[in-house]
Formats: sequence, C-alpha cells, structure tokens
Amino acid sequence: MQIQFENVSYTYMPGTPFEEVALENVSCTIPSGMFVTVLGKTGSGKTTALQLIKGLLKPSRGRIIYTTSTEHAYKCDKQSKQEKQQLNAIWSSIGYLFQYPEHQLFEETVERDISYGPRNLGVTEGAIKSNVLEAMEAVGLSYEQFAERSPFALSGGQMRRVAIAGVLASKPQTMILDEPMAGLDPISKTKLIDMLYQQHLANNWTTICVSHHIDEIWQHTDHFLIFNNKRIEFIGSKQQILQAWQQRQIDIEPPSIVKLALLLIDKGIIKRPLTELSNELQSSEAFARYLGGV
Amino acid sequence: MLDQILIGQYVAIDSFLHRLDPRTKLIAMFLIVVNIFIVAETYQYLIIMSLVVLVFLLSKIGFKHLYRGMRPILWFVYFTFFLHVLINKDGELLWQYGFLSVYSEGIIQGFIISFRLFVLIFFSTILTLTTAPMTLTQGIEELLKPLRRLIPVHEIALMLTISIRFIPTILRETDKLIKAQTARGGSIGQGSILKRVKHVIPLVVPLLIISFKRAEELAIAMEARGYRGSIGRTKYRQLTFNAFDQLVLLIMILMTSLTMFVLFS
Repeated sequence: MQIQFENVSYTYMPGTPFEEVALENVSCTIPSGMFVTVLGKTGSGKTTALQLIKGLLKPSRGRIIYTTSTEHAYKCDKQSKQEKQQLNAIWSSIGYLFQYPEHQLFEETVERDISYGPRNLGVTEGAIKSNVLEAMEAVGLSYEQFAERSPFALSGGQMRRVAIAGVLASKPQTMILDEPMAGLDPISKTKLIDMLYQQHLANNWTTICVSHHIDEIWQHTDHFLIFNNKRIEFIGSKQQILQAWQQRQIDIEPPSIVKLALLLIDKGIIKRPLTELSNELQSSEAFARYLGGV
Repeated sequence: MLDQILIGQYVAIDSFLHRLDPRTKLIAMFLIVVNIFIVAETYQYLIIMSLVVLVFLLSKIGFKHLYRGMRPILWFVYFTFFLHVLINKDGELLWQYGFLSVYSEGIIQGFIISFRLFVLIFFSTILTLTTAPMTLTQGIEELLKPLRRLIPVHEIALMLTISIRFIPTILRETDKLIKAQTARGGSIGQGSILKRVKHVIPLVVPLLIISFKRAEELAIAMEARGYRGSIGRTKYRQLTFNAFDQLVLLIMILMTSLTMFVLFS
C-alpha cells in the first residue's frame, strides 16, 4: 500500500494554552512494499506521523491518501459514509507495534492476549486459533509451552514477542514499528529485527520502522524518511542517502559501516565515491569482501 | 483522545493572583466559602459578584480556558437550578404543565443556590489555574503544620505531591494505551455500553501494573537519595507573606467580619 501525505499538519490540543504543533505541512510518498526506516530526534514528529497513518489521529490540515493495488485512493479528510467504511478497513489492515509493546498486555493467558486483536476485528473462532498458532510460530514461541501461561510471568524479551504476535495475529498488510528493539539486549535485538524482516518479506508488507540506531536496521532498509523539527528533512532510497552523506547534506549520523567508508575515502584508501558503493555497503560481510580486493 | 481533559490545569503566566502566597489563596478561598454560605442580602450578592469579576480580571486567565476548566462541573450548577425550580413549591404559581409546576420561590432559591455553587466552582478553578500544584501542596502543608502532633502532615503533603506529579504521566500512559488497544481493534469510543466496558479492562490492567512498578521504583529512588520522612527536613523553597498577601487577607477578614456582623445583628 502506498501512503501519500499531502500538506499534512497536526496540532495537539488546539485552542488551549497547551497547544503544540507536532507536524507542519508535511508532504511525502511512502512507496508500496518497501522497508522504510524513519529517523529523527525525539519530538521531531515521527510518532505523530505514524499515528496519523494508522488513523489514531486525524490530520488538522491536509490529507493522507492510501493507494492499494486493487483499490483507488482514499482521502483522509472529509468523506462519505461509504468512504469512511473503506478507510476504517484500511486502518484495520495496518498493524501498529507501539514502543514497549509489552506494556499493553493484559489478558490472563498468552493465547487470549494474542487473540484480542483478531477477535476485535470479527475473525471467526477457528481462524483466530490458526492465526494465533501462526503468529506464535513466527515470533518463535512454542504454542504448547506458552499458550496457557500468564504473559506477566514471562521474561521481558518473551513478553515483547507475545505483544508482537498480538499484532501479527490480525494479519496486517502494512506494518508500523515504533522502535521495536528499544530496551532489549544486543542479541535479542538482532534476532528480533531479523524476524521482523522475514515477516516483512513473507507477507509482502509495506513496513515503516522507527529506529534511533541506524546500525541495527541499515542492512534491511530500502527507503529512508528523516524527520527534523516537525518537517521532513529527507526522503529517498539507500543510494540517495549515501549521496546526501557524501555531500554532507544531512545531519543524521550514518551507520558505522558508512562512517568507516567515508573515512577510508577521505584517506584515499578507497578511490570510489560513496554512491558507487551501495552494494558493498549493504552488509559488513560484503564490505569486508570488497576491502579484501582493494 | 484525552486532549480535552485538563487536570492540574495550572497556567504558567504572571499575574497578581499568581504571585500571591498559596497560603493566602487557601485562606481567602476558605473565607469566601464561609461568606457565600451566610450572605443573605441582595447587596451582599452584588459584592460577591464584583469580587468574582475582580478576581477574574486579576488572574489574567482567558475566559475560554476558564470555561473549559469549569465546564465539566457546571452541569452540576444547571442541575441544581432545575431541581430547585421544579421541586420548590413556595410562593406564587408561575407556570404549570401536567405534573410540572414552577413557583416564584423556586426560581429565587434556584438562583441563590446555583449562584453559590457557581462561586465555589469559580474560585476553586481560579485557585488551581493560578497556583502550581506543588506550591499548593506546600501551602496546605504549612497551614496544617500546627496539627503535626496529631496527623502526619508532611507524609500527607508528600502523598498529595506525588499523586499530583503523576497525574500527567498516568494520563499520557492512558492515552498511549488507548491508542495501542485501539490499534488492536479495541476502540473504547465505539459500540454499545457493554462493549465499551469490556474495552476498559485492557486499559486498567496494564495501567495498574505500570503504576505499581513505578511506585516501587520511586520508593527505591527516594531511599537511594536518603529520604527518611519529615524529621529534620528543611525546605528548599520558603513561602513568604508580602504586603499584597497581607492586604488580601485583611480585606477578606474585614469582609467576613462584616457579613458575620450583618448575620448576627
């Protein structure tokens, strides 16, 4: 699903002394089927933008257009009743993993917590069961072992996986991940992002992922979206962001592998510009192989 | 979704009322409560009405914001008025329709009682709008100090402070949880009452868990910083009465004595 922002602004608590602009006249297009990484400082408007996409907030001005492969564009401003229904269907098809999602667990057993989403969406009982099975398998929790346990008796990492399974069980077609790895240990982080990336590929998601650690997510990302001070500072592919770093156009810190490449270019060890190295900079292994040849 | 709820609605601007000592404001508030329940003459109501206007102007609070803060409780005022109008059967019959009847005394009583309520709501709203919550609790603590042999004043004030401090945190948490559960299809804004009640559980359970965890962390953090109750504790911020505080208190005491005098003579 392609998501297009058209002059979208959002203001919190308008008309009170606590009024605060969170997004200012943002326009951008998030391409379909891509793994999009969203970067930006705290308070730059990332989370607001994501919540607007999911329909949790309504734009104060402007509109959001959703384009799916089979259907037309839906405008997210004033709409007829029929359009509203279609819009609701689109919003339900978007999975949203909140920051520290384990805080939202509430049921007595893992299985019941995971089935909360699909049950709300009106999925039949039989299908719910198979969805839960599939979701638990995807996050690496064995059904026999965990289904009947209380989510509160699990470890932090396991709780997070239960919460992720809870989002997966609704079979989303688009996925929003708000710092999915925050607060985990390094090994769990790698495992988690690999697992999520596998799901991204297997389900053909358009995935939008917020992260503060570009290193963790660099190799999976197709597209970058950078927020700065309530606006979009940069949107583009890996190739384009490399170019921006080469020309020192953006403030966002590059991943360590790119920093290393930039240093090697500066010292004259690598003779090619950054933009020609996008394949070699895909992963540290590829870069090592390339350096072996230099 | 919780955008409209204003608790701890303090507006950080500078005005005459903002600069008053919290103790002055609390005492004045108390004296106004005393006054409003013993006044009887029309001119006294006019004095109180002008006091309302004066305080409103001195607070520099926007009317819209004030109204927003009072609106949830104002229903109580309307309700009281209609109750009096419909139930009081004294005086002349003014209007009748079926079992509903309105008498002149009902309208007068309705006005008086709802005016009193309005004044109470107005002054308490102004108090919270012009006094930072922490300053307010400090004021309460200082005022209760003479009772410290009878009740744990400092501990009560600390409890107040902590609850006030965490209201915005918990509101933010609730807002996030509402969104998180809405994202899973559990919208509390939709459906029948039964459905809505069912969607409260997914909010309350995580909220309680988070709050307990936070309470424990706070206790550990306070102990780590050497907190050991009220004994030997000094204050970083000292409250001082200045000339304006004395003036306000003088006026309020004079006013109260006068109403007392009118009442008993």
